[in-house]
Amino acid sequence: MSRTPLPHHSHGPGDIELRVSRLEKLLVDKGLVDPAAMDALVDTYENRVGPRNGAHVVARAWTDENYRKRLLENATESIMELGYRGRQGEHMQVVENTSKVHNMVVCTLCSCYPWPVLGLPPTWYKASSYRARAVSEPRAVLAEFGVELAKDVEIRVWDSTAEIRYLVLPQRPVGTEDFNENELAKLVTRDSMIGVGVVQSPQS
Amino acid sequence: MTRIRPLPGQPESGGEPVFDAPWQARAFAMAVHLNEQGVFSWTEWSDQLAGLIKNHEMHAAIHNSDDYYRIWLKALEDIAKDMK
Repeated sequence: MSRTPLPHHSHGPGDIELRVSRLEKLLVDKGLVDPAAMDALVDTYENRVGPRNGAHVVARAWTDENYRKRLLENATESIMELGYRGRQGEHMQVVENTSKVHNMVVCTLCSCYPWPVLGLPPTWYKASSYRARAVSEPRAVLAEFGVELAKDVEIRVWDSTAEIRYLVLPQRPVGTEDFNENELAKLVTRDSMIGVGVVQSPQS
Repeated sequence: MTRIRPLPGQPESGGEPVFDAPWQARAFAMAVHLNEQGVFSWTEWSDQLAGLIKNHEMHAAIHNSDDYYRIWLKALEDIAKDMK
């Protein structure tokens, strides 16, 4: 196959863009890829899917005890009940934080992440350092995220895979007894649902 | 505390763009689209990607989205090569 000569060891941005467009053209020519469908996917993950979805799930669990139980027993279906489904949301498990147990999620092998409820992962989630250290020294990693846990709190680290993806149900903060679901959802952060953050009380 | 909030219904990604460059978005969408078309299962994709990540991490770390999506693109290129 003929190929336009490129400078040796070229890793400039122009080079990578050329590789992407060359591959896209090859796949379009084979009839495997539709550029319009790709545009729609990019729009979905840039603008439509994100941690607000997960925050809705968490706030519902905090305000509806039956929902919380269902969510912990069958996360995939309970999340779909609220309308969140799709890629990387097929096999979900929700793990609940308590005063005795703190859960955090990693994907040690690549970057498996529950897209329908959190969107695409942040850069640090994909980085080698988090993926290794979340397992080897979770307490130190949490401290770097500003989470200081009491010594007697057990940390459980969950390794997401293509088969199962985890979402943390954080603890409901004190001082929110009068909050409704919408007000609660606004307090829930992405990091708290990965388990590298805690949901702050509204006063703090 | 004042902080610029996204419009209601928009993802809150901690102020970080979902993709650093348009090519990353294209590479991302290509893999998802090929999976939707049944060219490979997501488990096959994850295995392919994880294998390349493992090789990469024997000599260098993934620090950012650029590092990560370069490996992602390599996984796609390898799959396309096998299809020929």
